[in-house]
Amino acid sequence: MYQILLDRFGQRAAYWGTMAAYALLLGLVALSFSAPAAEFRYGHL
Amino acid sequence: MDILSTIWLAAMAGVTAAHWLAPEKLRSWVLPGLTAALLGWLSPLTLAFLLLAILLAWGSQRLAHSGPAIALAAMLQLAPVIAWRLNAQVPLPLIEGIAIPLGLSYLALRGMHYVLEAYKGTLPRHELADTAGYFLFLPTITAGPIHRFAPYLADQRRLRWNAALFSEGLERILFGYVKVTFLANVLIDTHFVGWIDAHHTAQSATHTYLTIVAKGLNGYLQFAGYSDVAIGFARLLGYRVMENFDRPLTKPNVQRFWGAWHMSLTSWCRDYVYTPVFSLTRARSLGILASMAVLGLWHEFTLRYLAWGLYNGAGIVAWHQWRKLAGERLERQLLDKPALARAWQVLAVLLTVHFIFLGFVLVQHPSLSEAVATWARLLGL
Repeated sequence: MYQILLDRFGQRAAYWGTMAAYALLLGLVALSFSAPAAEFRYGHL
Repeated sequence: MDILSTIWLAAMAGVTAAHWLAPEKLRSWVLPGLTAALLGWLSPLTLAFLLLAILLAWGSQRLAHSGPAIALAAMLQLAPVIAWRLNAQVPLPLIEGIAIPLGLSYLALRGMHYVLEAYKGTLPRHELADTAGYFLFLPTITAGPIHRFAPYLADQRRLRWNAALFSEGLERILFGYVKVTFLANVLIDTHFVGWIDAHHTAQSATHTYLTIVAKGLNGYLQFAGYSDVAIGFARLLGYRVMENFDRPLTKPNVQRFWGAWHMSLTSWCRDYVYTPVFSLTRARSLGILASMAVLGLWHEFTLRYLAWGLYNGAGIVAWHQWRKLAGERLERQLLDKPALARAWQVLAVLLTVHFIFLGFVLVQHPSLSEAVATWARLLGL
């Protein structure tokens, strides 16, 4: 992700953009972690 | 061992720390050792089958000059999964009532790969410890990808701390959890499915159609997310495991879809089913149908999975026919008409996704007749 942002927006924006994206995604995962999981059969093959 | 379980999260953190903190000389033993210890604690039967597979694989490598010995070894690698698949239909003595060991289907494919490559003489020189390390590779044990021995060994031999790879691994794990927890479980399975149920009459054509779309998207996100976590975990340990998905829902035909969905399985079927069948018969369609039938039956020994495999195989064969009869000519005609070519591309992607999602209906119901009834509901019947 950092590399994609670096190529387009420069080092500073890439660093903060990546950190913000990671924080957002981590937050989403934390909030969603206990949501009821759909059946996923591949793990049981 | 679900990736959302505390045990899995603790195992990823603990194994990664132990792997890199161990003295370099012992490092190649840490991962297989901890994998064996974890499986011995969680599922001794799984560990027993893994150890048997390792011994059988190593033995077959020593007897690689003998065709019958290799054939027997390959069948023995496959036998446990065949037994459990049959047991699901008709209870078999000895294993009746015993749950299938973790990742047994994946183990069978890795075992077959190792044995067949040993016969072909393509395995790099290695020791028993390398074979054990290949089979006792925690990241991919439960849900793939079905990685190959040669790239595993290459990574194992040049194992060095690599901060960039470690960082890629962390990012990949995060993306995987976003797909599984947020996109699949919350957005699709809770909100989208809830919206479908609230706004459309159950059993109506629209409800049926949207449910098929939701299940298709959910299946993709779940499986791609699991693969991301496995690939990311492997990178934390310094290994590059083969990719399992390459944006399959953007592919413009069934052949390319199956080249981008569960790629480690489809490439296995290409190498060990399609290629031998094609070499023997020179009939491409037969090779395609055989490999897709095996792909279906690998999931479950039932008529519905056989039908699903053949449905997709027939889709690929039909696409080849269409391409020969009209597709290539059409593509040439669209070369100097970029807007029309783009529109055709979008239409082709939509048709492909619908063909695939409608095919999933075959395995989303316990019987074929219910699947056919679901298709009929789409037509308002």
